Amino acid sequence: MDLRKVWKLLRERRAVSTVVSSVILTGAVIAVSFVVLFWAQYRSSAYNAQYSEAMNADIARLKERLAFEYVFYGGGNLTVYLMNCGTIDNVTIQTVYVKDAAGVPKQVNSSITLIHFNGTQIADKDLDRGEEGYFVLSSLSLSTGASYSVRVVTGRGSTFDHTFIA
Amino acid sequence: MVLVMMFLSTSVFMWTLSQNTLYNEAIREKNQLESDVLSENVQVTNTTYVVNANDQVQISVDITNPSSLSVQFTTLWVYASNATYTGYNFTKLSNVNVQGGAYLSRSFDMIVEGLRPGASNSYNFSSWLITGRGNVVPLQKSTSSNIIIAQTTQGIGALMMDFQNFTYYIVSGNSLTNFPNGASGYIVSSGGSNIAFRIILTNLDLNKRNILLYADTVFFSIFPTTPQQVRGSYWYIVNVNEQTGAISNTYTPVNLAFNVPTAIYFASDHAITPSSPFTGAKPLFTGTTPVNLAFIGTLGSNPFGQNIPFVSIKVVS
Repeated sequence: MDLRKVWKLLRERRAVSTVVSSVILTGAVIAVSFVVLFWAQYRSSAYNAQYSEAMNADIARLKERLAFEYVFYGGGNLTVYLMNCGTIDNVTIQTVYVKDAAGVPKQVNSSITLIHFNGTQIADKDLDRGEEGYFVLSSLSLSTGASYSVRVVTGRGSTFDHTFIA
Repeated sequence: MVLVMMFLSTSVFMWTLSQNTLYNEAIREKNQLESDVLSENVQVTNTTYVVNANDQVQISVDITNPSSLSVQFTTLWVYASNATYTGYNFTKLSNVNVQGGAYLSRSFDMIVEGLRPGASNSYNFSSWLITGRGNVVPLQKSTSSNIIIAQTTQGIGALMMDFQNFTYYIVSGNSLTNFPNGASGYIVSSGGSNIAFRIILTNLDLNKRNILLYADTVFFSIFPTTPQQVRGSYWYIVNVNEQTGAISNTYTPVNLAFNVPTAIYFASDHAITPSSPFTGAKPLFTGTTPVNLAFIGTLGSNPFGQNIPFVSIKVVS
């Protein structure tokens, strides 16, 4: 008896029902959809973050503005007096370039110390809105009466140029 | 699925749009700032420099703001040099604002180490103001071409008198009463008291040299009391404290810098010397009398003398 049933079952093998197959297929599609959804969500969030970061950096850079109040050369030192007249705080000085009239670099300095006009060092090492400060470039050999330019590059990447007579 | 993807892409698009709006807003603000900076059109003229003490210079300026924007000045810089000296300094300014279309005349006292009064003629000064928007406004010096030739009293002398500001005071002890207003010097009513005169002089020397007035400088008048018997009254130059109106017993030569109106006082009945301090002087006579201002001193390093004879006064008592 049992053998006959087993034999019959083996002889009459058929696929699962359409309901079961539909359930399996739907489940697979939904699973893949969620994977795609999460992946798309992840990618769009990453894109948003990257775009936001770039946009905020651009906006911050646009708001930066430095005024050169005075540039004085004497005794081998170049003193550059600045004021933050932009609309954003925390303007740092990344690099300063001094070039002659022909554009030949005379000094490139990336370790700038900002000092208040009263002579004390600026503790937070940046210029806030309306704040004034200066820095000194030493060991410069410039020709008196000649024209030079100084370029200040801020931490956000803005550049400000000024021409002076040594 | 399609709906989910559409939702996602729409939200990303909208978010990107909002970011672009922020960026455009920043661009607009930047353009407005640049426009304001370019619209600042301040003119600073008639700048004069007076080294009135060691390490000190007084800078007088006339500021005109023809633009519609108000301008705030934050810092004043000055640079001085001569053949052997170079110095510069700055001073922070507070409440120096010029409204759109307004005019402002101001003086600033600055410390520049190394300046010496005696050498003020030899200094070359340049100075500039910094505005809150970051503009640099140069201060334009007074030039001879700015001065009307009629003002210079050319051919007469380097000193010009301000005829509209001629004042007299009753002197009580060493003090000028009703100081600084006094009364018009053209009609004098002393009531038997000592009096003092104040005139405003401007040095318009075409070579911009300083004029020092010595103690011999005198304000004198001739009263035609009776025919062939004219009588004179005179008041010698004195130093007066501009804050209190107190007359100094001693005299220090008054320095008249180029194009700086300066108040000069006459009150002493003699030329003040170290051994002969100030004493007051009365009109002594009444009636209409011509006045002569006889100045003695130096113009630059040369001896100087000038007489201004164009004033008349009437002493009524």
